Amino acid sequence: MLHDLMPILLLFAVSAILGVAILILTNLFGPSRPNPVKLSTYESGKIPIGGPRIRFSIRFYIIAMLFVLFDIELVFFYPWAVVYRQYLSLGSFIFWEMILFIGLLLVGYFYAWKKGALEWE
Amino acid sequence: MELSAPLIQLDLITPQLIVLAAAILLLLLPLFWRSLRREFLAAIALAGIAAALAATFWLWSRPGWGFAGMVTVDRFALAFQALFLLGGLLTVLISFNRIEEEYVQHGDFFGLLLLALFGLMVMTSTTHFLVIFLGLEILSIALYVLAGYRKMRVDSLEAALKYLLLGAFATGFFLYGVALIYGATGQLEMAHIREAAAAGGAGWLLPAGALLVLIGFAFKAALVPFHMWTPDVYQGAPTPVTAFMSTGTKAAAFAVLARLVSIAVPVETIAWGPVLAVLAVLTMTVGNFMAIVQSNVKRMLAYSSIAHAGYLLVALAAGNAAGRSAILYYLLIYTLMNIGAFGVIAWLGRSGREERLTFESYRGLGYRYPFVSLAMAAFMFSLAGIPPTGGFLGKFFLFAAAVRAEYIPLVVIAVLNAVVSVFYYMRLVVNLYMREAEEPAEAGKAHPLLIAALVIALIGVVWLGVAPGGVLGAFNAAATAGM
Repeated sequence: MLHDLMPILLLFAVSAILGVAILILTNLFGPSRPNPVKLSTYESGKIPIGGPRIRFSIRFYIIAMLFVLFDIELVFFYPWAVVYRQYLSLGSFIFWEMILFIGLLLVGYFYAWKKGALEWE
Repeated sequence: MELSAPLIQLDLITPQLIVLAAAILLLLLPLFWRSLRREFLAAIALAGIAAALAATFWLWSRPGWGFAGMVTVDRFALAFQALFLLGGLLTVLISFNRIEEEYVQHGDFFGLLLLALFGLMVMTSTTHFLVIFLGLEILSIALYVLAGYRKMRVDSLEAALKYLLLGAFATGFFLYGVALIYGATGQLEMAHIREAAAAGGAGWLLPAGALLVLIGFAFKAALVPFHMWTPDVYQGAPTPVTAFMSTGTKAAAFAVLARLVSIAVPVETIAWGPVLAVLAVLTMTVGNFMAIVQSNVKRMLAYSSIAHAGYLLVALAAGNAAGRSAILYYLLIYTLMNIGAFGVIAWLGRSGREERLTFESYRGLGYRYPFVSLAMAAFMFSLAGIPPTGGFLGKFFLFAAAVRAEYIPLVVIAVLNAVVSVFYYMRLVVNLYMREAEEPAEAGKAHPLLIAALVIALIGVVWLGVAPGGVLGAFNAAATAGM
């Protein structure tokens, strides 16, 4: 098993060595002539307009939470879809299993909907 | 690839399914009919719990296992299920007090409570670590929300946040332990883990994993030194939720620990006796001595619940069937007396914006509210372990099991601790009957359902202290099942 993981280990080692080497070499050999423009966050890009730690509306959290929830649930559909045809030969269990799952999802959906989590106002 | 139809034995999980259905109903109904009375919602919850209880008794004579080894419904699991359902029933009943009436009408409260109950039942009716994890998470997520249910109160939010952070931390320990066990044996089912360990080659990974699992559940059961969150969370959470947490979660943690030490990881791998004995001494002693100095009754009961976990550990350290039976018996009494005591706290309500939680607020109630005071005194006597209450017999069985396993010094320390605990329990009784107050607290008229909870708990505590026969017989059968 260790043998199979060797390439990944090598990749980690090479990238670590490369990263450290580049940092050290530029510090050793590169000229250092800073000015305000060079030191800004995006050297030749957008000019920063303020700190990132501002308050924003709690609604974003709810939307983000719902998204993550339903998105993750969706992932379960894929393996199910892959084996669906194969398992169908054993009876309709696999079909009702997913109907039940979607039913439970719908409970959550109705709950979020009726509680007003989907309304922006 | 050879296909085989999955084994589905839905009848084995009937109680769980009933509780889940009731929980979904409680979450959905109030969304469509907004003006449902809270009595109606409680009736749904109680009907669900009663039906699940009936299903549990029905399964008692036909235990089994199914879902390809993911679900184990032996009598040990069923006894714990009945215990949780009783705790859930009492918790619903004591939610009818003047503090909780502001928000229990939302239905979410009972819905989340039943989901927590569902988690507890999933967690104990299995010997498979992944299903235990699943149940633990269902339980924990519901409880995090419930702990912060009084969201306008800072202490309730504090309780929820602390419980969430430390609960997640504890789950991390548990999962890491399970991962190590899987790494050592390649198995997640307890009996298979044992076989793999007996076959040899498990090395140090298995004991390391088992100890991490122990730590994870030590957090959940509030064992010293993993108890720091307990007083703050118990104090800040709504009182019925505290009652449920202190009994249900603890019971489930002990169910899993009992299976861990007697099925999954045998004493040949880890000397469980000394490990658990040290934990027991620490837990009892710290819990009792910290309880003495509390001035807040809820905090006092929090430390007392830590101490009781210590007594339970004494029997767990014994590691015999008598110990497991005693743990079940004690947990049943503990559920009754602890939820009863929290019910009285909930009944006393508050003056102004503050809950009445100091010892002084109980002054002079003895003659003004005779029944409730009598019930509280009985719960306190039982918690202290004074005959003829159930608390005495329960402690006796716990310590007897440890004596049988020849843990004499441990039992001596436990008995001394029980003596110490008498002090702070009696302090409350003294305040009830022997101290005069210029102005006794005005508790108002109690809801009949709350009174019903106190009556059930009172009858249970006395009955179990006088006539243990039938219940103990059932628990003896449970303690030997599947071990």
